[in-house]
Amino acid sequence: MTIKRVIKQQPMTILCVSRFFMSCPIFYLLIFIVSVTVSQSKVSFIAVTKSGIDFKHTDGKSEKRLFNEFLGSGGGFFDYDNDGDLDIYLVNGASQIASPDKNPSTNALYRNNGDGSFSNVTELTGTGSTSYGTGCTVGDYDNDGDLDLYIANFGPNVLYQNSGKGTFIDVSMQSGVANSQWGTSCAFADVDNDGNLDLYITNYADYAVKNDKKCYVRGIWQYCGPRSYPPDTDIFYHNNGNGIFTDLTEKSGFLDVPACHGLGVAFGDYDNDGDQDLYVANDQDPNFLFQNQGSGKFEETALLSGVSYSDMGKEEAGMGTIFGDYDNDGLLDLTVSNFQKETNTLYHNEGSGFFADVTTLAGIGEITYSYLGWGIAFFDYNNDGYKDIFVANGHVLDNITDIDRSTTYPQRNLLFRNLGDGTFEDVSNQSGSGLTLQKVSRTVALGDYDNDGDLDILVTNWNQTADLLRNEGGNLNNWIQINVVGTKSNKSGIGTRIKLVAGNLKQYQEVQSGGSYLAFSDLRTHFGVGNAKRIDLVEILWPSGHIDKYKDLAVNHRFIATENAGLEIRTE
Amino acid sequence: MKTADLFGIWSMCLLFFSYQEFKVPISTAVASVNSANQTGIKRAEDAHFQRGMHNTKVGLYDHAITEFQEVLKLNPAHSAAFCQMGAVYRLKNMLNEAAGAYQHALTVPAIGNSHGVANLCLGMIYNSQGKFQRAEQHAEKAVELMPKMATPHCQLGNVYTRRGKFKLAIEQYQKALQLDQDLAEAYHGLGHIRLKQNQAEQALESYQEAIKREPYNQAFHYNLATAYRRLNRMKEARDQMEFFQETKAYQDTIQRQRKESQKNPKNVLLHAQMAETHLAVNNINEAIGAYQTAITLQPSFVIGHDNLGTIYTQQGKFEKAIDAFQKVIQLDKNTAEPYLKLGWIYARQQKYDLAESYLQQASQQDPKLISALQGLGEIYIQQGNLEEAIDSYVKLVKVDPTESQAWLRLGVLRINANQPSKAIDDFKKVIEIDPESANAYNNLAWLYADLEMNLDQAVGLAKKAVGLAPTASNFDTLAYVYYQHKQYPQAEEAIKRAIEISPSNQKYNEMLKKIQSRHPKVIKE
Repeated sequence: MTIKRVIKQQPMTILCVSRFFMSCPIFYLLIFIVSVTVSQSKVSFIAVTKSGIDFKHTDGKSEKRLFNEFLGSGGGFFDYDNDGDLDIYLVNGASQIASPDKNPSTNALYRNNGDGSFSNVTELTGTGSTSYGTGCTVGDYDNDGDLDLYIANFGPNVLYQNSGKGTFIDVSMQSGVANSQWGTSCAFADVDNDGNLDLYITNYADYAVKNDKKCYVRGIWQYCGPRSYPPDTDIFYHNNGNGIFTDLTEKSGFLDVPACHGLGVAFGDYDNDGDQDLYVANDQDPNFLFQNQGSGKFEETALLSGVSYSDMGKEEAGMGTIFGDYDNDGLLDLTVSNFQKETNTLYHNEGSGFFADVTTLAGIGEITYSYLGWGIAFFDYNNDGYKDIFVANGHVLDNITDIDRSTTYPQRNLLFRNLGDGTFEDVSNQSGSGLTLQKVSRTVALGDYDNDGDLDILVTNWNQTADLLRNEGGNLNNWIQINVVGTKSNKSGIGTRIKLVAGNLKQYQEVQSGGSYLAFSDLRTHFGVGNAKRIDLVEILWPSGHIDKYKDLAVNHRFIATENAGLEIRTE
Repeated sequence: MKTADLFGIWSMCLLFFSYQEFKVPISTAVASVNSANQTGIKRAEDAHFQRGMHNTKVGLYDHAITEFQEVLKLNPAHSAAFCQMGAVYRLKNMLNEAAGAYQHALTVPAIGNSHGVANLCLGMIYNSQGKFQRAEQHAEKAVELMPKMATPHCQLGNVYTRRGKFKLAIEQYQKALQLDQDLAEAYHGLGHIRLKQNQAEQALESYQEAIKREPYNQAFHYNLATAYRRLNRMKEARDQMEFFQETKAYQDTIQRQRKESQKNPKNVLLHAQMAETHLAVNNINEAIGAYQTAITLQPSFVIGHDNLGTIYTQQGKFEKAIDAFQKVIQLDKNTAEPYLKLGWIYARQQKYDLAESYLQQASQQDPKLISALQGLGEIYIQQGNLEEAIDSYVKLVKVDPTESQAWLRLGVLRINANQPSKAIDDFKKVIEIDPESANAYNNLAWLYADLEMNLDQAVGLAKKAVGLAPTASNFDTLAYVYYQHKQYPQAEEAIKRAIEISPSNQKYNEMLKKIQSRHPKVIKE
């Protein structure tokens, strides 16, 4: 385990001074200064250069600007071996034109060594799929206590069952989830609360490499846009509980809408009725909000809910999406990343099934207009109790400057600090070298990989190396992490809603698989609690409906909450 | 705020320019050796500029650019030409080139309000590109240069809204509306801010004002629906969302067609397609514009003239309709339809001689054209020329023996022409073709009664008529038939039914008296 930094202990040292000083007014002034300094201290993200992650993404390098190349591939953080630290999985493209490589590109699994470094265990674990990979997600679909891995491909998708012994078995065919459409983002969720994780994959287009065509803008050859090929329907698999899934796409209502070019998927209980709803971000098509009717049947309500189009009634090029309660009012809000010359959108959940577009009010409209956003995430990077926003940017056209000199192909990523009043501040320029990188970024995954109490970022880049951005300073504020384990609910606890109260601050989070774009984040929930010294209350609403409550918890600890069985501190 | 309908808004940039504004007065001080040359150059400039404007209007953008470039070769300081080039580049979605042209316009002396327009359009370009600071600067300059025009204030409002400067935006929208209370975009802008500020009721009012003025703007409908939804007025929200979806489908189709048209700007059929799309949603003005563009590009485009004529007819703009159909005839003398339409127009104008002439020509072109024969029949009736009227209807029923209404009309004409036996045959024909024709039964019954023949049959026919259509007139006929058949109680009952339905009809009251006078026992009782 990473040793806590000495600097973290300084506030503790100050608080441990003798009583002599405690009677001195200056002492309290110092406390105030320190506490103010902590809450506003500079948090930096440092690009970790010698992590052992030697992965470089490839789109197959056809040199033909094939239509399926520009989406990039995803990845994420998960603890595959249950040793208490986060490992990393990265998805890769593959050669599509040339004759098969003797050494084909593969996905890669990196095991966290516990000391800040990673080792490539792809071959060892059997997770080196050579398919043309796009998105991925994790969840314990067989409820055996370890996280399994699902990969969406251009071609048959893959389900890797975690054996629990450090290896994975490809059970795609026997489990019935080897859908061979062009899958992009995917996510697990228990939509009917039967204790088993179901699976949703959004698909992009009905396309085959042999039918690829060339597209031109003003005579300049460029990658084709989504309207060049017809969209494809998504797919929903119901988990039967016996290792097998059934395609219930039509029965669940997902075919009641026209096919669209799906890119982003996020599950969340936005209407607080105890079941998982689903938002799908589509590329140059209206977005979908599927409201769970309670029996595993869904009804599409995006138009009336205000989350289908832009505020001018036009489709946007939706890429990534995520639910998150950024204003701590107990209702899941929503954000979507969009193309350049479209803002990213922030939707505030107003209750009664309606979302208000607060992009401009929140202060994130103007800046995001100039960037092409993909992976997007709510996360509390500075542990002040309010969820901030990170978005990965990068253009789709490698020759964009030939067409539009006002933009660039590689772009910097953006970090917005939540000011706690419904607005955000762009702090990208003040957040360390990791935020100055200009790459063709695609996905974002979050997790405290070094277990030091603040959330780090994994960014994948198109045809480039992935970036691991280590959070330095976020843990100067206090925090708590909770790993939920279902018993009656699904074992991963996906869909569990956690309410945390610390002093005047109430926060809500839901355990989510998938979300963002092509990625998955650590399933442990992480709460920043600012200066709070104790956690007054943690209330866990399980998907089964059972509620556990815990009071007066210590900060700066990791906990494991088992459904109806108590809370324990994680000691690894 | 994103520009909702870029094509519509950008066309505003064209509206600022009528060529007259940019005539540079030839200084009398330059009455020198070069004055003849300068006059020639100026004329050439004007000619190129006008051609450029024309080409822009009809969608020949590349030609337009060439013309403006020619202007600039002759006069590199022609800021209006730079502005117009900018407008055309924008219509071609070449924003960087458009911005370049407008920037050039600002580096040379202004012609009229060219600098104001250049700043306005630069503001719009930079707004759409996300360069909001520059957009704001140019939009503010546009307002400074054109303070009495509503659009610059509105556009500045849009930029302020995009930048979250709501108070400033509201001020600009309000100024815009003071200058032009029909500026839909300003109402929408106000509504947008109100909605963002959670003032849904006020937003609603603003959106409704916007829609009144621009009913085909999808963004307006979308946001009105959003305002209803915000207020939890679900039924109205759903209804409005349906309007939005219909409007959006229409706008999407138009955008697609415009893109196709830009690839093939001389293809008049594409413009005709756009016109049909506009007509499908009753956007008549846009439809007219599309057809006018088509016929400008190709003056021999018959369909364009014909459809324009039809639209003008529906609008009651008969003189324009006449011009259009005359054009069709000039281009194609051998089609009956334009003659027919002209005949109708003149008939509506009660210019029966002209109507007759054109309908006859229509009929000559196509002897089987029923509408022409019918039209002629009616005109002859108006003129009191029964013989010709009958002749027309006889021809009509020869062309289409199943046209029951024509047989009915013919029967009535024959009655008026004192040809009762033929009238009887006509009415029988109607009954044969259309056994549910109350009028045929009624008319035949009346005729029998009048001729005092087949009175039993007449009673049956009149009863049938009343059964099919219990109108006052049919009861009146039944009463008459009974009267002729000396069945006075039944006659009285029938006429009283007619009076019940139409109490103020003097004829029926007189008929009642007549019946009662023949049936004194009834009166005494």
